[in-house]
Amino acid sequence: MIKLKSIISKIIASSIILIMSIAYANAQLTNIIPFGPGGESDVTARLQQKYYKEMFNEDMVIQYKPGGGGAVAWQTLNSEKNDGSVIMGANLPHIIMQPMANKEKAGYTTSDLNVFNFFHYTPDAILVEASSPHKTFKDLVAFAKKNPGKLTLSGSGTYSANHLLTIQLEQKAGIKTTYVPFKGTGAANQALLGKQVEGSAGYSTIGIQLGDKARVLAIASDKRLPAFPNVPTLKELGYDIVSGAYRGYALPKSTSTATKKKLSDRLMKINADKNFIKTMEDGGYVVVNIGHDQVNKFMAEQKKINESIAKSLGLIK
Amino acid sequence: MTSLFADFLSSLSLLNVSLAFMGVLAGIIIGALPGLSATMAVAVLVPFTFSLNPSSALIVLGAVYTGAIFGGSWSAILINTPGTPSAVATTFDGYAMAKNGNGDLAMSISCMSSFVGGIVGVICLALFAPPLASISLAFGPTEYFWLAILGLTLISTLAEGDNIKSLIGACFGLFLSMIGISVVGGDMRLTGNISFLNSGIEIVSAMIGLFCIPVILDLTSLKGKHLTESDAPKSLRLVEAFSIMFKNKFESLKGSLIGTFIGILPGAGGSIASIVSYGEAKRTSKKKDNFGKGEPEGLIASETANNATVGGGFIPTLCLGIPGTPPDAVILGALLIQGIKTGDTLFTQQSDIVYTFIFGLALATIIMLPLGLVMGRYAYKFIIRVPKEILIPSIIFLTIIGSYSIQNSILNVYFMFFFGLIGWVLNRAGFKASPIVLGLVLGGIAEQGFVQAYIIGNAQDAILANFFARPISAAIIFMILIGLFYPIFKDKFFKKKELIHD
Amino acid sequence: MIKDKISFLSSIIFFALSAFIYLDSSRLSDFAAVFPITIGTILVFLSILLLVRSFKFEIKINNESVSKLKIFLLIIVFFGWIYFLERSGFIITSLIAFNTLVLINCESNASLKQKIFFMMAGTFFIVCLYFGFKNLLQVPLPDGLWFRD
Repeated sequence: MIKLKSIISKIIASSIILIMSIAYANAQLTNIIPFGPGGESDVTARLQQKYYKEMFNEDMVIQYKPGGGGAVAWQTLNSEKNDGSVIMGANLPHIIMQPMANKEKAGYTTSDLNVFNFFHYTPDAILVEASSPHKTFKDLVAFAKKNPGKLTLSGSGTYSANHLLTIQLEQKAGIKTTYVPFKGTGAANQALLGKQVEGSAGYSTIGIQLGDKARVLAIASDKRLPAFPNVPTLKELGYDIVSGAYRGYALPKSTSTATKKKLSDRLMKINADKNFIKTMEDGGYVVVNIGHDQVNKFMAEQKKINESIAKSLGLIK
Repeated sequence: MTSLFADFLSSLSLLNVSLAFMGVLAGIIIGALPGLSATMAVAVLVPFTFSLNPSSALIVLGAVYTGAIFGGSWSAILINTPGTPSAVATTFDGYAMAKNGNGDLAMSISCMSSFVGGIVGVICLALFAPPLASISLAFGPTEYFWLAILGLTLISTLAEGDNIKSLIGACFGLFLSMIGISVVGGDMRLTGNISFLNSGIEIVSAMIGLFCIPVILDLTSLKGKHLTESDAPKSLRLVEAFSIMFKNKFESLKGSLIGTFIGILPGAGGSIASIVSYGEAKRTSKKKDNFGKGEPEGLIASETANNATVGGGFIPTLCLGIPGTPPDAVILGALLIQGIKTGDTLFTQQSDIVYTFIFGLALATIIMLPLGLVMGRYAYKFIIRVPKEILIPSIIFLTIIGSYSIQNSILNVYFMFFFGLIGWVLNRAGFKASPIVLGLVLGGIAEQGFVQAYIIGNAQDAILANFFARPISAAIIFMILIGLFYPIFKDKFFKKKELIHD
Repeated sequence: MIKDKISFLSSIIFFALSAFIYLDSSRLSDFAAVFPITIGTILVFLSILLLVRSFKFEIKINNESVSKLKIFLLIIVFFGWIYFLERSGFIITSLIAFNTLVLINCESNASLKQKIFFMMAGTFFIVCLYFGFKNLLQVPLPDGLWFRD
């Protein structure tokens, strides 16, 4: 008899939990980020999460699927639900470079990913520690010319965007640098601030993150960033380097065009919000509006650009 | 002074107190479940912080963080599985205590130790943040390398009896740490063409497999209960726990300081802190032979250190914008969305945010003590009473669901399972888990430190100087040499004395 | 001859591991190969030590004897649980596997009433955690490929 009572009470309790959970789980959009928490993809997605809830009264749920520099997630995109309830972060140059450099290692091809949106990019930047004797980019280049190989630049990973930036610099400025790879931007920043290296190859967003502890010497963007009005672009300084990481989203290949358009329009709406733009720009991000109708053209252009970079670096023939 | 008092009061607002309470509660539960790490616990709560003001957001995230680090000790003690990687050294003596019938004592000591470690970490954060941040910057690749070597010398301390097998185990751990893409060079290494291993060995599923699977396999095949019930299951042995803590007050402080210090070094984290603190405690303890058999000192060393990394980790996070530990990276992201810029301005112009947060974190840590003791009592009683028939499938269920949650991938579950089988076989062959874990956790740091120091030294045409002539590195090398040679020296010296006296 | 069979076997295995490390390192760039070669060399050295030692004496390991049948069954069910997790979905697989394990582990003198009680408790536990993980922690547990269109 007693056992029966306890069993019944357990059943009641579990039903309550069940009902609460079902009620709690209303329609939601799952946003899978191909990296770990805390990075640029995560931070910008979190910002969108906030506006998504306000504008469309729907939860955006952020999940992480890190590994292989994003490859692990991109490999599995097409096995996700295709009814528009799941989107996945897409990063350039990664999704072009990874399959281009090594198809088997990547485990996916660029065309496998149904990219439908790019909403911002972070231009590459060269930074030094605040008390560094190199006050301008010219100083840095002069130092490198006088002391070939002694300009140590920290960055995250090998053959990553940071690394490629230093290679482009070497080519365009005719200098020899020493790139010191670290595991993650946190470690690279630590080396920068600790003066273990002369400078850092990073992003504009790092400049904001490190505040007045670091000085941004140049940014690889088309125009000067509002967050850094006094920092010249590499273009201005005479070096034709415009590069950075673009971030957007992709859907499983079999998603309907109508769903794709709906999601693209929603993300574009967030992108148009003045407060959203301000927060992004304050963080060093550059908002771009590439919707589902412009993505294909944009990707084709980027593919050409990345191919030529890869060829000149010897990554592909 | 008045502004500090105002911050203190605002940390005691109804909102903040309830956030601290619920944060610690949620953190403990999430941390106790293997596979769910402190990072995930914090990440899940970030959306809820958007509608909060910055200091309240920080309070709830900090509370979850510290609760999770403490909660990890529960599964470490009760099922030999670190609930979070930071609890790995807690399994060494915590589980042994549970098997000896001292499980409730272990739960209480763990709670008190986590409290002490957490408070010391917060105090260091409150009083010494800027100078400690500058110290963390002085640690470059060379220092990290030598620190990793210092950590690896603890293998000999952790070894129980079979030295060769312990060293081989450590080498195996080091081998595991090399699998995947190398940071320097970008090459894919040692994966044997298994694409799952491309990003390296995922440490949480590896730990679950290595620690939990052998326990399950033994449980199912051996007769007898899982844990010996203690003599006094009702009282939670608070007085006894308290007196043990008091007797070991210096050890508690030492563990907390080790943890705080490792916390300020970005890239280290709770797991390294708990292992290093444990190894250091064993090395200097009078009861070193009892370590691994259920020695409370070992438990204290581990739990004070890992909770101290919470406060310690916030130091580089708030002062430099460089996350001290993985959950700090998530918290930094949440701060950025709130528009908070880290750095000196945070402490000067927006000091009310920081100090309200610090008081709130202290409050959360204080709340953790009674909350953890009470909840721990129920958790312990529950596990003790649950019959093996349900316990074994439930644990298996938790390992599956936990390892799946890491990356929402079934591959981690397979990996956990197979790695667990390997761990079980190794265990039966005489290779213990602790040296393997030590190698796995420190390998990356040792290698990266070495290669980076080499590259930088080479660029400056001063390779040897870069490795040996740096002041902090020299101090660390000195400690390594003392650690290695003092025992030998001591034996010879005292043997001589005895001979003379004869 | 061989005093410590387990150590002997282990040393051979780790020797093979160091061979694997050397082989893999030969195609790597200089920087990436430094650490593996160092560790591989240390491992060779230690394996030889262990091998030699296995001929000289044995360090006994305290292993309690185990019921091989139960372990075998457990491993099979455990593996099956994982294998079918994504195919037949979380709830079904877990319910079947959990209750099978309950039965395997039951003491031989457990009554039928007890067994049923255990299985119901297990079911309750599984369902609770399923919804807790799915909705509160936002972890999407597999639905089951067999049942998806």
